Amino acid sequence: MSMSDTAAATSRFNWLPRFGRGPFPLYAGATIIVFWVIVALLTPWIAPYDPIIQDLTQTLQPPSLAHLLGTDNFGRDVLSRIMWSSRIDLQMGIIGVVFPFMIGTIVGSLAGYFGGWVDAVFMRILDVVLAFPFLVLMLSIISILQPGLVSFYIAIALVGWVSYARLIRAQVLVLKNSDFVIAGKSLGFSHLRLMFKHILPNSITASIVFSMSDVVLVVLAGSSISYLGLGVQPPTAEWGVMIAEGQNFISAAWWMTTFPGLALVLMAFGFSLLADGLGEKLGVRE
Amino acid sequence: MPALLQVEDLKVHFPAGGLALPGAPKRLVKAVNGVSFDLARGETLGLVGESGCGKSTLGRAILHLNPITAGKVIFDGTDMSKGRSADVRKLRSAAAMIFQDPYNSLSPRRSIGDTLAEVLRVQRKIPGGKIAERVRELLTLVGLSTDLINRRPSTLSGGQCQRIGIARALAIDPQLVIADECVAALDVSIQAQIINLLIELKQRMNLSLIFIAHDLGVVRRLCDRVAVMYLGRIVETGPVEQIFRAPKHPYTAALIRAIPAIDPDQSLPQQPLGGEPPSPLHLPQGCAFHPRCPAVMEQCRHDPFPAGRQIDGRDVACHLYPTAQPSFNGQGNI
Amino acid sequence: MTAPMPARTTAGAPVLSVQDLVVSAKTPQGPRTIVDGVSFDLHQGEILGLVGESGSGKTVTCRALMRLLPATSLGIRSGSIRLMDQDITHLPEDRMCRLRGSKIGMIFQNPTSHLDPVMRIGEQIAESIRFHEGASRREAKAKAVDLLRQVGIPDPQSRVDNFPHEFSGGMRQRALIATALACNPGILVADEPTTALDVTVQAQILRLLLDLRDQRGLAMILITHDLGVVAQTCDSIAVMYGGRLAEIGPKRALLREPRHPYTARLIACQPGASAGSGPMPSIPGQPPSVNAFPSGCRFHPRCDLAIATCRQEQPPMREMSPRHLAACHRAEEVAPLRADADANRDRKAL
Repeated sequence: MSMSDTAAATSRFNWLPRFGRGPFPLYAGATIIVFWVIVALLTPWIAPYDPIIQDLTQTLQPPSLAHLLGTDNFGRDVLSRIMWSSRIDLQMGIIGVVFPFMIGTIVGSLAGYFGGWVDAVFMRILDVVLAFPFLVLMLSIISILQPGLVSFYIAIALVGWVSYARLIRAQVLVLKNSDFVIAGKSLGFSHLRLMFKHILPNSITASIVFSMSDVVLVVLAGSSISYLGLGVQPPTAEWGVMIAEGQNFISAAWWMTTFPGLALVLMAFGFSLLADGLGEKLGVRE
Repeated sequence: MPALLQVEDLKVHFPAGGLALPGAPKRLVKAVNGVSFDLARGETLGLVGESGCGKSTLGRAILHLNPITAGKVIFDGTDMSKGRSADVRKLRSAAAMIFQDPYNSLSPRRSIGDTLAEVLRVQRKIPGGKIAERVRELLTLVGLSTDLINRRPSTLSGGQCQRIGIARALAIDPQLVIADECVAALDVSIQAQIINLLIELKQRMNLSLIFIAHDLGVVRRLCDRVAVMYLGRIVETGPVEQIFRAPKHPYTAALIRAIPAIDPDQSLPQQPLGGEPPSPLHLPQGCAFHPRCPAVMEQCRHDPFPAGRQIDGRDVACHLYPTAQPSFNGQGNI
Repeated sequence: MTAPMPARTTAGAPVLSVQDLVVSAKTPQGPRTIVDGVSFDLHQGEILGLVGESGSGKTVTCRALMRLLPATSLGIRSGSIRLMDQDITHLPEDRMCRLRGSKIGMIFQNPTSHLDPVMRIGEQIAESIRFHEGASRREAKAKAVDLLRQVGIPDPQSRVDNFPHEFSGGMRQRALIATALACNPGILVADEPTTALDVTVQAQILRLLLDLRDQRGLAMILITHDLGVVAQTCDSIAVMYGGRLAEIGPKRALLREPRHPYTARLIACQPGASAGSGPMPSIPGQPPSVNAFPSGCRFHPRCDLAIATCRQEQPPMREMSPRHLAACHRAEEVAPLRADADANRDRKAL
């Protein structure tokens, strides 16, 4: 059970790059993420141009000294827009993971620990969520609410928790029969204490590692949804939006899609390295 | 003196896993199938048997860690089988368990000082300000240096972890300790250290101890009485030396004969006891031991499980002794 | 050495000879010696018991002589292993592969994990016969049935088509023995073969191993932590401590007059060794960790005979009586701790 669940949860990331084991991926990943965080924090001061104001005299300029990464069809500086985007994309990655993580952890703990009807009810809900393709479910929830970032966060919280719940539940099922939990029970520890002080700290590492890879997925999902016009609305800069806008100019202005794409890949790369390194460091086997 | 613990006709049955045909009767694992015994204060009882005989299930059922199907567990005058939460709380503050796997029985992400302090905090038997002092006392009591207080279990040896397990059990000032195969996972030289610690502690603290083991040699050293289990029932119980010197039940005899002696002049039995314990899912008819019994008689195959009878100061459940006095505390079993 | 065994002889050339075997582990801090200078001979029909606590190096020694060490982490650094007349210390893997099973077989502690769960028992036995002897499918199956009969599986004709999960624990160990013996190896290495079994089943398996030795003249290495098992089955005993041989010799001499303090203590603290109450003899302290072997004699921190020399100098192996060697500076002063008289008297009364 635990094996197959973990495998199912991680198999979506088989295509992500994998490097040597040991601390190197951890440090490399952390460096990339720290780089993006710094960029996101400092953007208002260091971005060379405004990301939204159009300058129709400078449309579709190739990369040059004035515009290091070129300009788009409205004459906006691509570098500045990428920098501003990093703020939104990081925020999407973090908020889009924190809520599913918390919901999934609580649901998984309760279901695994108490079993019986609690487990049955949560697992049926989970089956229903899993029965729909991820993006289709996201899209329908967002379109019911209304296109925008907030709807995106709500949708990802409603859909994303299932992976965490399954991971945690599988671990809890094993751990709740382990000797140290029985020992605690025999010494009069309450259910809450056993669940959150003894079982959870030992079952959560796999979820933490998974959440790092999940950030990648969420950012990609956010970008795809923005690309489809249901997430971040133009003219706000977001990598997915930028790629979508640049698509029509791909032959005339390759820089409009290539650089946001590279930025997205670099951040995804950072998180996936971080996930690998953390997994190794925390002893999580896949 | 009244017994600290009385177990009366205790049964623990589990539904078997796996697929059952619809309409077919539900398959039950009869792990414990009618066990009765008393344990006096300060007494040590060895519970011995092969894997699957139900000895660990019995130990956990006594501590209310397994659901009980039928029968009574009376601890210090209170019937625990009703499972009232106030009663269970009382049991939790007076009875503790020591586990087989020294590493797995300690929370891996907590320091050992934390592990011990937590028990003291939850049980509220001593004021909060004295907890740190009591933790150091407990470590000293089990023969560990107080320098280890901030170490994680993974940095300790198996023997050290098992001492922590014992200290944790003693933290609640128990009247009853159930030790489930607590030396089986240790090296021989460390086993002896732990056994000696248990001998010393039970004398010093007047503990009642149920020592669950498959190793008869260990039981002989530590216990006053021994109960031999086979497939969910006690087949023979009595003072440990008497049973070792002259076992009455054919299974007990085979079990004792099978311990390899460290005597170069003695060779392995030419005809060891054949067969293996059957699955508790398909208990044989009659006496459960009859398919392996060297002294099997016709009635063993058909008659119900033999009633416990008193011979030579011990109780035996075997058709070989039809004329002996029936045991007083058995309902058809020992 | 008591009962005359026709096939057993200690004269003549040994079938297996290990000389000064050193095995080291690769660690980030450089190589670390796990097994240090182990030497012993095994003759036809002899059962050698290799005794030691966890971390003593007994399992690594046997994996080394099977050439089954994981190449990425462990390696033979020096010494030699001779199987029959062949030096196999550095034999290439493809040639070693042909020797395993046909000249030297191995059985393990946990038969369940060493049998393929999705393959019929008969096929697993036949596989090795077909590989080593090139027998036909039908011949191999007939031989598998015969082997199952020899290892005491009732109704082998139908059992041969069972899967491992249809066997009980003891029967799985019997089946594993049958696979190891399929191609008539002269040597069987048994790594804790009865540790996972119940005591009554353990007696059956040990009886089977003894019978097989008598019928086939097998030489056997029996790795165990249980001196009782060794006392009842082996002809000679090697005691390992901290990666080195502490003592080696004929069973009777070693158990009656141990010449290493560790052996003497180990015999005394076996739980079955003594009756009565009161504290058991024990060995203070912990077995040494592979990462930090003590200087000099590795037993000195736990030894009540230790003197200054023991802390500084590694004791050489000295012959104390014929073929009985001990590595102790004070071997002459070791007195056997006799506590087992009671237990044995009782057992004889049964």
